[in-house]
Amino acid sequence: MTAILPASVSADFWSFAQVQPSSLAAGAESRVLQERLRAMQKRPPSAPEDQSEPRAQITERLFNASAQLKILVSKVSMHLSDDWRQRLFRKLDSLHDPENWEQSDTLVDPGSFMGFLRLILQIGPINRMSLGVSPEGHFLTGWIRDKDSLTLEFTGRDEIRWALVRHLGDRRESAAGRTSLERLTAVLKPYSPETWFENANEISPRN
Amino acid sequence: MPTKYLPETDHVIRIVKPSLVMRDDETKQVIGCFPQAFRLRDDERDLSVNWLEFFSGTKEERLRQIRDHAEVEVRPNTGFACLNVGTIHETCDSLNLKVRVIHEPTDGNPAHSAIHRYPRDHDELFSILANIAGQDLTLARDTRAS
Repeated sequence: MTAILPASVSADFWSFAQVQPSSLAAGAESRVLQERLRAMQKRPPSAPEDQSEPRAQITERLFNASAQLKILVSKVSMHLSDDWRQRLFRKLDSLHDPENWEQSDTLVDPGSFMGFLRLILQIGPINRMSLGVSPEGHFLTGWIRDKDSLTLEFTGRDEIRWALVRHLGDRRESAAGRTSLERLTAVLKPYSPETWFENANEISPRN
Repeated sequence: MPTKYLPETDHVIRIVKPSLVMRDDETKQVIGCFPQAFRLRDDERDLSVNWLEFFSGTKEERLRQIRDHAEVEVRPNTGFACLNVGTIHETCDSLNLKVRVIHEPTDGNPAHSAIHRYPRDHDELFSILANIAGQDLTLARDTRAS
């Protein structure tokens, strides 16, 4: 399995259950990564949609919003494979499709989206995730495998609101909570998060 | 007017915004909805739903009626998530929540109903309801008459 993060990050970084935030502190390249993360400026949340906004303006606003998120991705694109980045871009475009946009919808808060990016940089790019936006503008990611579901809501300031449902035989297990980005892996560990997260070695490594 | 509780054998439909519908990354198929679809909106005191069996006909015909009477914006990829009333009670009871599913018709929507005593902050409940309802979710675009 080839790591796509800086070489100083060990292959164990890919093992979801073994991710330790302190691994990001090792090595010069990892320090650069940490500096980039700290340099990301929190932007003011996007204002809710004007109820009477013409459709053409909505289309332009959505295009700009999607572009803004892609710019945030580009700041860390050197740590992502081109394939995964392009797939994320396509999903962001789909999320900002004017056909799906309601007048009452709120644009994604860039600060919330950066929390998502920080998570990806911490645990590695994950496949088969659904994306969404809460009425408050919080970025959402979710996975469903068979009947089991896991959803994450990035509420800003690296805080995550999580919820899961698992079916173990005839029993249903459910849990929800709020935690920090750094604590997420430890908090989810008892619930076998590999149920939802596909193995990172299926991702094409960056050349 | 006496309170009309929906029978436990009947079903309700929660209308889900397109931004809260979950799709499989590769197949693009609808696979469920986010729990946020079952949170109270700022303008809701009780969870607003639609009584499926208020209308007659097949399930598809009933969904079309619900779509046509919806008092919220409906886009092609708006979802109609279906839940059995008995399942709602069972789920809430398991979390020590006593809710009431009551028929509350409005001028524009005779099937409108509401889940009373519904918590404003209970992510575990919302995730369970989304998990169940997401397995029976129809898009508005798929309710068009064939």
